[in-house]
Amino acid sequence: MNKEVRMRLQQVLRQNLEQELSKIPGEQEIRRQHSFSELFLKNMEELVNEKDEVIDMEKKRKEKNAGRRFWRAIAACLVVAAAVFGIGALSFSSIRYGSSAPSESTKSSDSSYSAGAEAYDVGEYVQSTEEMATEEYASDEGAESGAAGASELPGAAAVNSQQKLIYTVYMDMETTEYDTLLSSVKEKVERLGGYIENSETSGDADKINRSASLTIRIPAEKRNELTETVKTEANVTYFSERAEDVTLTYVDTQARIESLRTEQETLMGLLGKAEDIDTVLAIQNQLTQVRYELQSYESQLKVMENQISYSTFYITVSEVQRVTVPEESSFGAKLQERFAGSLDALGEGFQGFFLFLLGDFPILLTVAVIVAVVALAVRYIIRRRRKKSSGQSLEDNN
Amino acid sequence: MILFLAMLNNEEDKSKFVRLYEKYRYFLWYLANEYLQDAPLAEDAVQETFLALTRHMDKVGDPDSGTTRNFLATIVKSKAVDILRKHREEPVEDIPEDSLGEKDDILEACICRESYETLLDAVSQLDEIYRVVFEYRYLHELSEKETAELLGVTPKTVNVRIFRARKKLQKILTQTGGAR
Repeated sequence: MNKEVRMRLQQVLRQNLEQELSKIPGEQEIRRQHSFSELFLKNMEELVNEKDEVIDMEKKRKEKNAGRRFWRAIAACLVVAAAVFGIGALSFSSIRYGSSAPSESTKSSDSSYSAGAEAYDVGEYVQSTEEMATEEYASDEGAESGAAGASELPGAAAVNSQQKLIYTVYMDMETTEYDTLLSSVKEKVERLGGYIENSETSGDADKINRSASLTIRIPAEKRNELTETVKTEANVTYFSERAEDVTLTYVDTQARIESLRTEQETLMGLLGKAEDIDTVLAIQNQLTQVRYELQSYESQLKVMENQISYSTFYITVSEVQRVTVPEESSFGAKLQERFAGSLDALGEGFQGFFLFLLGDFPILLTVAVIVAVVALAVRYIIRRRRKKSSGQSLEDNN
Repeated sequence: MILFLAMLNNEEDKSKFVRLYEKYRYFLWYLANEYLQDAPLAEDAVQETFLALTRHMDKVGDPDSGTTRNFLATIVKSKAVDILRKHREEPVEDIPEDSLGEKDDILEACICRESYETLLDAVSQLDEIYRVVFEYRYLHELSEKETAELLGVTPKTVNVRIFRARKKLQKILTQTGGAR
């Protein structure tokens, strides 16, 4: 599913849900209508108290898994270490005995390399950079057309000030100055009188792979200022702006509210005049219904007004080591880009490998000692046997 | 040190859980009751919701945020749908014969083409059971596996429901598109 479809669907689902939820009265109102049964309260209390244990159990399960993972990692390290030192031991023995050891040693060196690669995700890293590159090339075109469309929009809006438009902006960008960019975006948002509705960050500063997705609300008339700021400060890889005309729905909702208000007043008037209890009850029933509908429309209108006066920005910021340059479209440039990318990945991979080699030196050393002792012992036993057998064969010959 | 951190996290989770319970139980009950029209069953749905939540506290952010409220609402709705299905004793759904993932591009094209209002209308027309999986997957952005855990079904069933939901949505959209 492409990103924009996903975002649209998400937005529609959110609004649908929020409209539904906006009809729910306040807690006081519900309390009047319903009080929880003894059984429910008892069960819930147990759940709250038990929750400690439930969480504990979950934690333990997770820890167990983590522990398993830890042991697996150790085992992988041992295999690698054993392989590395196995080569040493085997080649050592192959010199002495000149047996079939050389072919074995090449085999084990292969396996040690692949094990190292797995541990440090070299393979994955290369793959992910490739994916990123292709996606960005695809979206650059979209960014250009989106930007062109956007520049026409404000003019159209100015034609009719009565028009109710909801603006939604989608932007993807990458930056090398992650912290600076985020704080400057936040500052700009505050200065423009907007606010951050939702923000999610993930990733690791050390690995330079942090990313943030923000949902920002900006007063509609100031939205271009934010776009401009962001464009000057980061490399925007995707841009699209959508303007949705809700004039019809807006006016319609207003009219409904108007007529419901009139109805409410009329009913109130009738209620004052009503004399027998049945009429009063009937009118009150009707009045409740009208009030309920009124509230629902009013909240819908409020949601809409909020969306009209505040444009929504869906922004994702990714931290990168090198910014992809959008003009590069010639084959040579692409090749260069890809080449540099894979060099980076390779460098990363080697770095990881040496980090492992040097960083885990104590473990490796211990393993080496053990392996060496075992190898020596085996060699000693083999030698003795050979000696024995050769001694025996000598005796036999004699 | 690690033990201490784990405990802290635990305490934090617990107080968050209690806050969620205090803050949203009436709200959730009301929502469940809207669907079930039965006060005791609605209580069951709320209880199920919190039970499911104990295993997924890591997916809940700030207890006061709208996102959290929406997330809880989706869970309680899905639980209510579950209870409703059990009461009617509907047969367990089986996997459709037609291949999964077909005609996706048509739906996506529809979503791109139709106006916001039409989409909103179409989504509100969906059966609750399908809307709920959409909400889990696309609004709260959970994985298929997480959705399955919260719903108490297999990931395969989730997949099937998503597929059906997409088909339904597409049908509604093409119908309204044709009517105009």
